[in-house]
Formats: sequence, structure tokens, C-alpha cells
Amino acid sequence: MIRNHKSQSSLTRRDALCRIGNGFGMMAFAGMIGDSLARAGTDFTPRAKRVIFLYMNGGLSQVDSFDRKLALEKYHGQPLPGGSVATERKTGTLMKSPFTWKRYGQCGMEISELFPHLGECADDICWVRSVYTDIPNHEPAMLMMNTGFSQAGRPSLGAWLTYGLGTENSNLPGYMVLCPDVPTTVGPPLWSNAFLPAIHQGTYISDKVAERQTEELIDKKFDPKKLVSYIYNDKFSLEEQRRELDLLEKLDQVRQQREEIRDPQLEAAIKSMETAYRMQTEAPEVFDIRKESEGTLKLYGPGSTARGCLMAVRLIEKGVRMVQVYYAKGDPWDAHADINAHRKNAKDSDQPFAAVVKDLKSRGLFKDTLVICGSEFGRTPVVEIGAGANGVQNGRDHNPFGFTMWLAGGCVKGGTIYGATDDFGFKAIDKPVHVHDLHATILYLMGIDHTKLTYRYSGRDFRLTDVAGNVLHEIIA
Amino acid sequence: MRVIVNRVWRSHMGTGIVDTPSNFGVTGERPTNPELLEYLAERFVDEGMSLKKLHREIMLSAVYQLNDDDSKENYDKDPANRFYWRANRHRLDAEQIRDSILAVAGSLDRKMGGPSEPLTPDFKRRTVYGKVSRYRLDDYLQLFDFPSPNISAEKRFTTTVPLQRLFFMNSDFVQQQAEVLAQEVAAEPDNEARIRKAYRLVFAREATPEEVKLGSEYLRAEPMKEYEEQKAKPPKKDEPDADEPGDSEFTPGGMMSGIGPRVKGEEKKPMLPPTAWGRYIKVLLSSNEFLFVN
Repeated sequence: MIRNHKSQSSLTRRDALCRIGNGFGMMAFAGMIGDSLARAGTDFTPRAKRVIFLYMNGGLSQVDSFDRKLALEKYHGQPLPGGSVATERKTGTLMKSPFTWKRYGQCGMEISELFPHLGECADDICWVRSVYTDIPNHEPAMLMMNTGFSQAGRPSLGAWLTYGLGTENSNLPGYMVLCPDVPTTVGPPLWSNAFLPAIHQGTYISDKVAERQTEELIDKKFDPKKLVSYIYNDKFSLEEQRRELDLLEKLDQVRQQREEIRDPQLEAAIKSMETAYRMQTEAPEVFDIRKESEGTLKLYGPGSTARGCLMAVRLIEKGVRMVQVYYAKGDPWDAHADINAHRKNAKDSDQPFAAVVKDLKSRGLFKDTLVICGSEFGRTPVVEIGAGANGVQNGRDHNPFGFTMWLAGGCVKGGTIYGATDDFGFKAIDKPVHVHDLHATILYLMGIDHTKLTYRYSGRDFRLTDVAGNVLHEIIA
Repeated sequence: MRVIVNRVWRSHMGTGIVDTPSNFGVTGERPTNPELLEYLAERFVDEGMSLKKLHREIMLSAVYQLNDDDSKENYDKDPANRFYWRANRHRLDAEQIRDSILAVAGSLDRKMGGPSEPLTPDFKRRTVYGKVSRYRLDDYLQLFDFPSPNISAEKRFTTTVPLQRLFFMNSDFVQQQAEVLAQEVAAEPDNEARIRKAYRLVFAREATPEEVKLGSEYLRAEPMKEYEEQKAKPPKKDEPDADEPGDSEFTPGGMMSGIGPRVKGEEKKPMLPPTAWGRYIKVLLSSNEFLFVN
């Protein structure tokens, strides 16, 4: 935007503010120079202002968590009627879930023993049981879930959101990604700005401080400054940097005073120094979860997932537009060999995920914060052949045909179940929801028409939803 | 022909005669100087379609050699400078920033040809020899608006974001090169002469009295020991930090070291310790005058 694009006059910030009618490009510019212009350019009344995306990388099994199938119990050990559905690997007969189930809340949602804490929030959550995606492979499916395209190189959901809506806190990045380590082998393309201006890139924070297995609520080694090493170099003190900046500002101003006409580029450059400096002080402050009460810390429980979730809520509270929390490094939910591996993952994430919902409510942020949770795909209701070891053959293969994701807050109807898979939980058959539909709905809740949020690049307009996407109006209150 | 000459023109002048370089159709922009576009296209053909000759013709023109001086009168008529009454001010590209810093510090290796290598503070060759991964674009390049290597880019954008400033403030690369430069000016007899020399090296001009004053005041106020004392000591070894997160596969190392966590296996090279003088030079390298072509 610093270039004048098609406009015939150069813009100062004031001009930019007067020309919001020019659309999202201008909004992005305003965000870039640090002005909060939230929602000035929305297409609908926004229901939500912020997004937390809790990501269970690897592929949560829907039939072992939120989509109980009695037929699986009945026909356990028998072949799938009508012949097997081809997935990536060789699969065998139907396999029932090893977990017990319980009904929760007014809505009577059935949830497996893996997620008792989420069960307590059942009436606040909308369960979409008919999500499907295109490719049964982690990398393309994760890219699809995060960028709306199966190959690397498109802007991610968070980048589109900050591009469309700007940020509410100019001292922090508008889009942040938390994970103790690199989620899957994909990494940065998942939070890339791609061709959008660089400011919309997700800022990745590795919150790896110590081993996850600790039972303490906060590790003794915890130091928020270490987390944000991205913006912090311990070789330099803040006082020194303050003096550097003062000198720099003076020198820049000496040069600029000679000019009659103020140059918006140079103004923006000077302003960005101040923001950078403040970011160094504000970011460690937000990440310092030691400031939370004992009660709040207990609500989330121990471990890195819990820490990430609590940080996400703190960031959202400070006006960050979108925070994504990856469960852990690699693809931990990828239970090819033994579905019981879900037990440990669920133990680490059930309580913190539920705590996000509860904590947002107690902070008064639940209504305008949208929480999304899920994986890039689900798992097969049939057993996988060949992955297990030592006689254990109890795992499930990737399943892109139907899986469950849940949404909460942001005026999403709590206590509802949307769509359904077939009798065995393989394919979405009732009201199928493609990832594009989910993206369209998220943008809609944020007040954006997904067909209008475009960016012209390389000779054509790009959209998060490409040429697809239908808003799920039924799940919106 | 019009398309290619317009692109070459744009790369030199900041804006194209048609500033939608990939769209000369009805939805694209009309040329601001159609006669000029025709002239350049014709000349290009007459000269045997030599791009080198086209570059030379543009760069030898009076309009290319204009500076960016203001003119209230012209500004009122053509604020966006689409008729080229002055030079367009623009920030250096990612490659130019890195190369310029290395060049003024005297560290740049100008050798031509050879394989690409990852960009790190130790890599002293021109940035064009840096590795570009389509899958995982270098953090430094991305920060300074290198276009996505997956699709063709008709033009680059210039964003101004706080993280770029943090790169200048915190990266080992900038501090190191500033220290190298500081050593170079250290031979001058006093601070004033050193400041003047630094200005000649960094900006290729004399420092104004006001700038010398600001610099002297900064250096005097710095509580750090004088540069000479520091120089006498051997470089301090970085103490190993047990808590440092380090074994992730992609965390920013390379050009971003000092900013991101260190990459496992990345060697800790002895670094020149930060000094007041180095920080002063770093300020000069972060200034708008250095980063923008006037």
C-alpha cells in the first residue's frame, strides 16, 4: 500500500482514514501503520471480534470422541457393508471405540470418556459432525484447514482476518500462533501471509520452556521473556535501545524537516520504531501467566497445552485478532497403531480446551470471541492393517470424508449438533460441510462476506474460499 | 514490447507508465505517458531488443537522474508523481538492504556465480546467492517483502512493519556489521572525526554540524566503556544457555539469529561484543536515509 496503487494522489494517514470506502486495501494500510480501525469495513454486523483456533494436529478420531456410532459396537469385527472405502493405507474390519460414553448438558450431547471437561461445556458448544476435506494427507489437509488450499503458498485464515479487519492493539501482532514446537512437518506455511502484505503474517511463538509432563501448574523455569525471544535479544538492554531509538528519531527528523511535504512512507517508518519498542515490553507482559490467580491456573491445569490456551485467552483479551494454539509438535493425534494413544493427548488437552470456554465466559469475552477446535481430518471407523506393533492392531487410518469440529462463542448456537456422518461414522451424509464452508462461516461471524474479501495478485483476485464456500446460517444464533 | 519496456521502466522508476504491469487490458490502468511508452517500445525493437541498451537508455535519461526534491507547485498538480517530476522515494528491497549493509561495512563478497547458500550472518556474498525455498521462504526475505516464490509477481510491495525495526534493533547480523564498521572508524583521532568518517562511509556525504552534535551527545551519554577499552579485551564467549529452546527444525536461525531461538547445530561463532560505537553505527544503518533511496 505504500506504493500508490491506482490512486492518483499520495496518501497521508488522515487521507486514508477519509477513504475507508476504498475497501479492505485501505483497511490493511491503516492496520499497518498501527491505527485501530476494527470493523469499519465489515459487510455484516460482526458477531465475533476475535478467534481462537485450537488445533488437534494429526487427526482426532470422531468415532472415539464426539460422534458415537452404535452400529460400530454392533458390527465390530465385521467388514464394512458395501465394500471398504479406500483410504491411504490398508484397512480391515469395523472397529468399535474402546472408550465409554456419557450424555452431557441440556442438549444431551454424547461425549466419550476422553473429554469429560468439554462435556461440562456441551451446552455452550456447537458440534459440526459433517466436516469433510479433500486430501487424506497431513500436509495438504492442514494447509486446506489453515489456508483454504492444499498446497503451500496461500494466505492463512488469520492473515485474511487481519487483512480484512486490522488489529485492535498496535503493540502486538494481530495474528499469533502458539505451539511448543513445530506443528507437523508443514510449519510456517500454515500461518503465512503468502502474497498479502508482510504485516499479516502470523507471529509464531514457541512456548517450549520445559518438558510437558510436569505436574506443576507453572514450571519454575518459566520466563516470558524467553518465549518472545523473537522480539528480544538479551545482549541489549531496553534502556540502551530506548536511547538508540531517541537518537534515530532525532536523526530521521533532522532529515525530514527539510521537506515541505510530509512523506507517509517515512512517517510510517518512524512510527513503526515506537511500536517495535513497545512490543518488546508489552509482549512479555501478556505472556506472563504467573500474573494469573491460582484459581485460573487450576482451571487450565498443568502442561504446555494448558499454558498455550491460557496465553491465547490473555492475548485475545489484549485485542489480538486471532490466536492459534497447536496441541503439540509433530502429528500427535495421528493414531495409526493404537487409538488408545488418544488417551494421553486428551488428558493434556481436554481440561485446557474446556478452560478456554469457561475462562472466556468469566472474563466476559465469550460472546464476541469465536472458538474453533478440530483437526485436519478424522479417522476411519475401520481398523488399520500393518501399523501396530507387538500384536497390537488397534489404530485407525486418515479419514477426509467425515469428521467433527466444534465451535463456541461468537454468537454460535451452543448445545447444537449440526450434520451427521453415516451409520459407521465414515462419510458426512447429512448437511456435509466442506472446509471452505467452515471458513465462509468464520468470516461471516467476523462480519465479512467471504466472496468480497479478495486480494488481487498475479493477475487475478484471490479469496480464502477460492470459488466455493457456503455460510452455515443454521448454527448462528 | 510495451509490456517488457514498461516492466523495465517500472523497476527503475518505482511506478510503471502503466502501473498495472500484468494487465494492459481494459481493466488495467491507462498509460500516463503513452508517447513515452511507444517511444521506448520502438527503440527497444530498433536496438535489436537488447535489454542492456534499454536499461542504459532509461538510466542515462534526465528523468532517471532527478533527485527527490519537493516542489509545492508540482506536488499540487501531480501528488503521486505519475509524470515523474521527481525521483520516487522507495525503500530498499530485501536483497538491497542486506547487500548495502555488507557493502558499507566493507564485508561484501562480490564474487559472481556459484551455488546458492542459506542466508546467515556469516554468509557474506550478495543476497541474490541466498537460498530461496518455495516451500519455506527465508524469514529475513519474507520480513522485507520478498514476493511469494510460488507464483509470478508483477511487482513487489513495500510494507513498513514493527518486526522490521526489531530486526534492526535485535539481530546479530546488523550489530555485527555495525561493529565491523565501528572498527574501521576507530582509527580517527577523535569522536567528531569518527562521526564524520562514519557518515562518509554510510551515507557517502558529510555530516551536518547538527548531526555531529547529536552523535557526540549520544556517545557521551552512553554509560558503556569507551570503544578502545573494549577493543583491548578478547571477544567475550557466549555462555551456553541450558534453557534455550533449540531443537525445532525451522525456528528462525540464519539472518534472524539474535531474534529467534538458535537452531540446533548452528555453531556459536565468536562475535564482536556490542559497543556504544557499534550501536551508534547501527542507528545510522537503521535510519530512513539509509533504507530509502532518495
